[in-house]
Formats: sequence, structure tokens, C-alpha cells
Amino acid sequence: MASITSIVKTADFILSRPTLSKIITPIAKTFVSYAGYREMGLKFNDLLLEETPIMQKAISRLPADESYARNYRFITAHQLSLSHQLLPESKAVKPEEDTNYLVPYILEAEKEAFEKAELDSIVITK
Amino acid sequence: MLSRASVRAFSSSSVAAIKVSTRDAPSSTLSTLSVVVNNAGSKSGKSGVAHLLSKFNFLNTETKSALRFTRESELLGGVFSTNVTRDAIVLNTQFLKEDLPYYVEALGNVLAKPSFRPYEFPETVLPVAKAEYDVASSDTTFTALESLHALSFRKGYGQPLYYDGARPVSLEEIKQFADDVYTSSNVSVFGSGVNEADLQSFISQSAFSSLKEGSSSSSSAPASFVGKESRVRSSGKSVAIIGVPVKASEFSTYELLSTSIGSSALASSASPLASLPGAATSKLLKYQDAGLFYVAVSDADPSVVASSIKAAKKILTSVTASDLTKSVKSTKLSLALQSTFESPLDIKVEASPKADFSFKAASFNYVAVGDIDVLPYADEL
Amino acid sequence: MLRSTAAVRSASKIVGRRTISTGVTGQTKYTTLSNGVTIATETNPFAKTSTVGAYIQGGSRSEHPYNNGVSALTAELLASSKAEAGVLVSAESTHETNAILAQSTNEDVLEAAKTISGIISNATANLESGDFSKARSTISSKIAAIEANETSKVLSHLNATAFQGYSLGLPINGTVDSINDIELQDSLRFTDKHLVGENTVIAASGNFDHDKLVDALEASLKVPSGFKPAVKPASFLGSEIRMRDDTLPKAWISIAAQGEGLNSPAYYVAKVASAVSGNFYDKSAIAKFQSSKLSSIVQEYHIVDKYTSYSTSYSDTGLFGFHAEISNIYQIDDLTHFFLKEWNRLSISVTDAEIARAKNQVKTELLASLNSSNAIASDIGNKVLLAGSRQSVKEALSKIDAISTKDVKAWAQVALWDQDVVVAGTGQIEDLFDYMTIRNGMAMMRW
Repeated sequence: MASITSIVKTADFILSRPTLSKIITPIAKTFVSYAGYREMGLKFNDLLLEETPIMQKAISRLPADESYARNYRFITAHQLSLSHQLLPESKAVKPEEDTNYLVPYILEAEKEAFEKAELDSIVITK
Repeated sequence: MLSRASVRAFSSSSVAAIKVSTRDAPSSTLSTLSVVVNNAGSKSGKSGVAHLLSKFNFLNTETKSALRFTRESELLGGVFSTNVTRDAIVLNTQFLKEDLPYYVEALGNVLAKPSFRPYEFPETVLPVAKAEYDVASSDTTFTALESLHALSFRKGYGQPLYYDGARPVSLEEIKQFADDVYTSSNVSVFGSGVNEADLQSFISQSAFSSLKEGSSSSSSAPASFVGKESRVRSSGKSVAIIGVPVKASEFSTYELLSTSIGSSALASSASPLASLPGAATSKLLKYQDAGLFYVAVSDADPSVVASSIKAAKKILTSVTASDLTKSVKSTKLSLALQSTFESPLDIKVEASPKADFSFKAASFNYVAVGDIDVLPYADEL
Repeated sequence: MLRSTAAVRSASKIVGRRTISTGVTGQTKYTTLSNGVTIATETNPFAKTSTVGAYIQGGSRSEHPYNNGVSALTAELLASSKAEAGVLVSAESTHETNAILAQSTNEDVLEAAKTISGIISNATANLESGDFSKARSTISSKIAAIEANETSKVLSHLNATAFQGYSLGLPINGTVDSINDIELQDSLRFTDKHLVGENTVIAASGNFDHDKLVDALEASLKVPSGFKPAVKPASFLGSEIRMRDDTLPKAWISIAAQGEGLNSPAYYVAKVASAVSGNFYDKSAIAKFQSSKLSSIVQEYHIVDKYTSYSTSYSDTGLFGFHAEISNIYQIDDLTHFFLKEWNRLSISVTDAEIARAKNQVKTELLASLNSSNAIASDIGNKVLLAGSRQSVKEALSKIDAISTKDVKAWAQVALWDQDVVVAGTGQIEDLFDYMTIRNGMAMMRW
């Protein structure tokens, strides 16, 4: 899996090119609205695979309120899944609420892991 | 052979108010660089905040991660440590002589550019501080001394040395404390096996030069209290301590007293205290503007402590001026053993101490920790 | 160089004393007195105190199981003799040497020398007038303190099982049984045999003048001339000792292979190899950042509370091993596994970066250990007695510098790969696997 760091870099690159972002941003928006996770009460960051040491570290570093909100969204989504329902449009997560609340923590954890890997394989050059 | 005079090179000077002391010997290959941040010890600020701040030292800074610093430092063979005293936060580094610029920069970054990442607090600082507190307080003598400080000074030197978790300290409070105390007027740098001119120029190029000046608060001798007693029920060894708060001007007299009855700085089996059953010893704790002299007895058997502390009190009150005169030479040795380059002791021992000296029988504090059903009360001593 | 030949001895008698080497600062200066006693000093301009110590080769290695502890007891008794004012006297005993140390301020160094002369020259009288039972109870409480501390207990028993059947395996202070049987007569017999000119070294460190000290000692120190007693042999035997006690809160274990002696050319190679795994304390702020591969493994899986790697040396042999304190008692096997794989790796794939780090760490550690006048005097005294001379710091550093990754691998292939080990443990050591399993970990079938 590509690291979140590289994905963020790619996204930044796309956004920095007006032509590219004009093409890709609408596609991304369409993809997100068809993905439908917002109607389940989730944010995009909630969907990221969490069974890795880096993600575990990032999640553990969330502030208490963010962590509570994340778990609350999971419970909501489970309940909706169980009862085969979707949230009404008024209660679904709005695009502006779909923030990257977890990404900064992942970036920091990945930076640490990359640095450790680099230092673990340090070579002496004379 | 080189003459000793040419080997010796002591000097002290200051770069932008930072006090720098060095000593150098051309033959030395190991250098020691220490930073003492005065007015940043556990006597300052909210209880525990200084201890927690000291545990942030050598963690992430704006310029380098803790991981990278530790790895680089180990690769250079250097060691570093940090601790809190009642007066100051102390940072120590030891390394091969050629690595001086690296460590000057590292120490400068610790003080001037700490990053205080929020996750470091629960992940590293709190558990490490708690472990240090737990290890210390598993020793009943430490508990007794903490209690003795609290009785003798109440505030300031009476505050607990370590963060005990009784009242939480927030990261914001630690940051604020760092901002207040990590100033150039509080910082002293001590370099041993270090060239004076080199150190000066490295310091001026490092983050040390970006420390803000701050106001050097001139501290005055703290209020002290006597005639108090404290008793703490606890498992482990029983301890009884007699303590007297001492003015800085009385240090030499009490050092003489400590030596003449048996000091922990001069472990000798011939002293009067050493002949008592149970580990009986005395010491003068010397701080910036006050001291605390104590006589402690500890043993697993509380009845031994009970009888020995009574005997120790008798030894203490029967010391005469001539006993002090007899221990002048030993006291000089004791002071030489306790004095270090980083905290030099400038205590003159007079050849003939005060002739009218006698230990004031009623004016002491008393702490009993352990099996307090058996340990005596202060008025029973 | 110091084990003077008969010709040198007679020459030294003629000139009274003979300076063997004059050193520059940071080097040990030697003088042999007319009675055969060697004086070795190192002056240091920064020293706040001076130490003059009398070192004799002896220690528990010179004993047998029935008088075990006599040398430590004798040193303790001698150290309690009367001292000059302002001089602090203490005893120090190792497996192979005993010492009486006198510490004083730099100005009073001659008083310290006088104290040492007084104690050593009148050893018999001092022993006879000393408080024998008090010295015995001091040693008894030292024995009790070692047994009460799990770490020192494990290390002491590890040494006992490694050199079982030889006097080097005996504990320094003796045992509760042996110490109570020792009488003054045994102490006198010990000094008669060991306190002789060739077996005695006066080591001093501090800020003083070598020649003045020599003059003072030449005038006052009386030691009967005599030869060094032969050092008893010792041989390493792979074995184990288990002191399982499930009432204790943790497990304490130590595993070691045979290490290098003080005189071995591989002395520093073993030190460097030991520094590759280094030390670890779970509750330190840097635990998760440390370089050693092993520390990052054990940290991540919370396998161990604390471990220490060591390479200790006696005159002709040593122990290369580790000691660990473990709360996670069901993972002792994981720790031993990872530790032995780390030792395997020394023979196969240890990297240049690891060796470079370990070398620098060994250098700093060596320099930092010489941090007090007592420590320097002890280093001088023990090295001169056991190794014949003391290397200057400069020589030691250049020896460490010269070590390459290849050297470490070559050493490990001989000294560690598929070699016998000794195992000792106390506390909840159910999970400390049987000897053969651990022994099999000393090599790998493939890599």
C-alpha cells in the first residue's frame, strides 16, 4: 500500500496544477458521492485501514474529543448497516465536514517510521 | 614532564549573559559539557512542573527528532542525561573531545528550540517521570526526606522533588514554565576537557545565542520552620530523621558537625553514628540559599531505629566546639569529595570554629516513616 | 616490564630505587622501592582528592572453600586500623586482589601515604589489635547484602558455576558458613604469604608529586621481600544454576560464555562486541530510540525491564554475557532467543555501523569510568598486579580504534559460535528453558 505521505504528495501535486486539478477534482467529487460513506455518517479518514502499527500510533495520538467522535461515527455506521438504512440528507456528513482529521497524525507517524528505517540501515562511508 | 601550571587552564566568562566555565587539559580525550539552568528546579513553579520539563529535555526539537539525536549521539559514543534538583534543571553530556560542536548545538536546541509535541507528554514524559518517582519513593528514606523538606521550608525547597501526580500538570503549564526559565540569565555552561575559545565560538553560533534574556530573579533566603513533626505509616524499612534547616552562612559549622558525628560523605566505621545499630548517618544538603542538615537512622526492625535515633540525638546534643575543631581536616576532605566542577563548593572551614557551638536541643524537625507504632515521638527523643 | 628479573632486583637494591619509566601527563609513572614494592601513580591536575592504595594479589582466588573470605576479611580488618586525621580508609576486594585505600585532600597526600605505610608495615600488629569480630560482621553483612539483591546474587552464582571446582568460582566475601570458621590465625597466614614485596603495588592517583610520594614511602613502608605466590588455575565449565523462587515478583537471569582475560589481545574486541547489544532500561526516556537492534526488538514487544551486556575480565579468563530483569515472565524464552541470535549475528552479519558505534561507546565508557581518584588508583593497582603493567589511555584508545568488523566476527566465531555457556537465574524462571535448548541457540543450522 502506498504510504499516506506519498498520496498526500500526489494530491498536492495535482492541486498545484490548474489543468490537472480541473480534470481530477470533479472526478474525485463524483467518486466520493457515489461511494456513499457520508450517508453512513462516516468521514473519509474513518475508512483508512487501521490494522497497521503506524495507523495504531496515529489513532492513539488523536485528541480525546476527536477520538470520541470517530468512535461515535463507527457506532452510527454499524447501526445503519444493521438496520439497512441510510441517514437522511440533513444528517449525512456534509462535504465541508469531511475533514482529514487523521491525516496529520498519520503523516507524523509515517515520518518517524521512515526515519527509523533510514537510521536502522545506516552505512558508514569513509 | 609538563609543569602543572601549563596543564591547568581555568577560565570563566560570559557570552550574551550565559555564564561559561571551562577547564582544559591537553592530554584529556574525554569532554564533559553540562548545562545548569538555575531557578528551574523543583523549588520553582507549580509542584512537579520542573521534573516534567526536565523529562522533555533531549526529546524532539524543531531541528532534530529525538530518535535522530539519540542515534547520532550513540554513534559518536556520547552519553547524555538530565535530572532535576531542588535548585536547577541539569543537563549532562559526555563525549570524545572532537565532538564538542555537535553537543553544543544539541544542548542549545534543547533549551532554545524544544518542540513539545503533544503526544510526547503521555507517551514518554509521564511514564518516565512516574517510573522515576516510583523508584525513589519505594525507598522510605526518600519519603522521609521529602517530608522533612516540606516541614522545614513549606514552599520552595519544601515542594516535592518529583512529579507525584497528585495535582495534574498540563502541557501548557510545562511550556509556559520552559518559556520562563530557559533564559540566558539562568543558564550556566560548564565544559571540562574543553578549549575555552572553541566553546565560546560554538556557543555564539548555536541556538544558545537565541535564548531570550529573561530577568534573573535574585532569590533571598527562604523562610524556615522548626519544631514540627511528621509521621507516615508505610511498609518497608523504618526511618527516623532529625532535621534542621540551615542558613547558607552556617554551612561550614554544620559540615564540621556532620563530619564529627559521622557523615554519609565520609563513610567511616570509626564515627560515633556508625557504631549505632541500624544504618545511622548524617548529611548537610546544600542548596543555593539554604541548607538542610539531617541525621537519619533506617533499619528493617523499627525497634532498632527507635533506640538508635534516641542515641543519635544524644550524640548530636553532646557535640562540643572542641569536637568540631578536631574534625577540621576530615571536613576538608569531605568537602573535596562532595565538590564537583559543575557544582563547586565554596565553603571555608575555619581552623577554630565557633567556640560556643552547641546543638539546640529543641529546635529541630522530626520525621518518622515506617512502623510508626514503634517509632518514638519527637518529644520522647 | 614490571616483573623484574633477578638482575634488575639486585640493581635496584644498589641504587636504592629505580625509576622504570617517567611518564608525561595521563601516563602511569612507576618506581620500584628497594623492598620490591612497585609504586605506580598517575597525576591529574583536576583531581580534588588523592588516593593512595596498597594492592596485593590475592582475593578469593587465592583461597579454598574452607577459608573462603579470609582475604576480604583481612583487608577489612586492616582498613579499620587507625588512620591519620583527614584520611578516609576503605577496603576493596575483588576475585583476585585486595586493597586498602587511603583517600585525602591533595595537600594531605603524604598523610594518606603515612596511613598506608602504618597499616601495611605493621600488618601483623594491626591485625592482632583490630576488632576481628566487627570486621567479620561487616563482611557477613556484605554477604547478606549480595544475597538480598537478586542481580548481584545471580551474577555471583553465575561466576560460581562457570568456574566450579576452581578457586576463581568462590565468592569474593566468602559464604556464611566459611566466614564464621575463619580465625585471626587465618588472616595472619594470608598476610604472611601475600603481603610481600613482589606481590604488593602501591597505586596512587590525584594531584601530587610522584617523587615526594615515593620518598615518603621509601622511608616508611616496610614490606618483607618475597615472591608472588603462584596464581591458582581456573577453567570454564558450561553449566547452569537455577534458584527458582516463585514468591519473587520477577525473573532475574544471566547467561554468559567464556570471555577474555585482562592480558588477552582480544580484551577490547570482546568489549566492543558486548557494546553492540549494549544496555537497555525500559523506563528510560531514550528506550525507544536506542541504536542496538536488540533494544528496539525488546522495547517493541515489552519483553524485558532491563538488560545489561558485560564483558568482565580476570587475569587469564573472563565472562562475556548479559544480565536481565524480566517482569514479563512468560517471555524469558523470547529474550534468551533474541539475545543469542544477536550473539550469532556477531559471527555472521554484524554491520560496520554497529561496530563503529560500539567502538566509540567503549572509548567513552573507558574514559568516563576513570572519574575519581579511587577509581583511577584501583585501575592502576589491579592492572599492574594482574596484567603486569597498565596501558596508557592513549594506547588503549588506539587499540580500540584498530578493531575492525572483521576482527569482531573472527573473535565471535571462535569465542561465541557454538560454545558452551553458563546460565543462572532466580525468581520466576519457569520459562528459562533447559540448558540444551539455550546451548543450541549458540549456533544456527543455516543463515
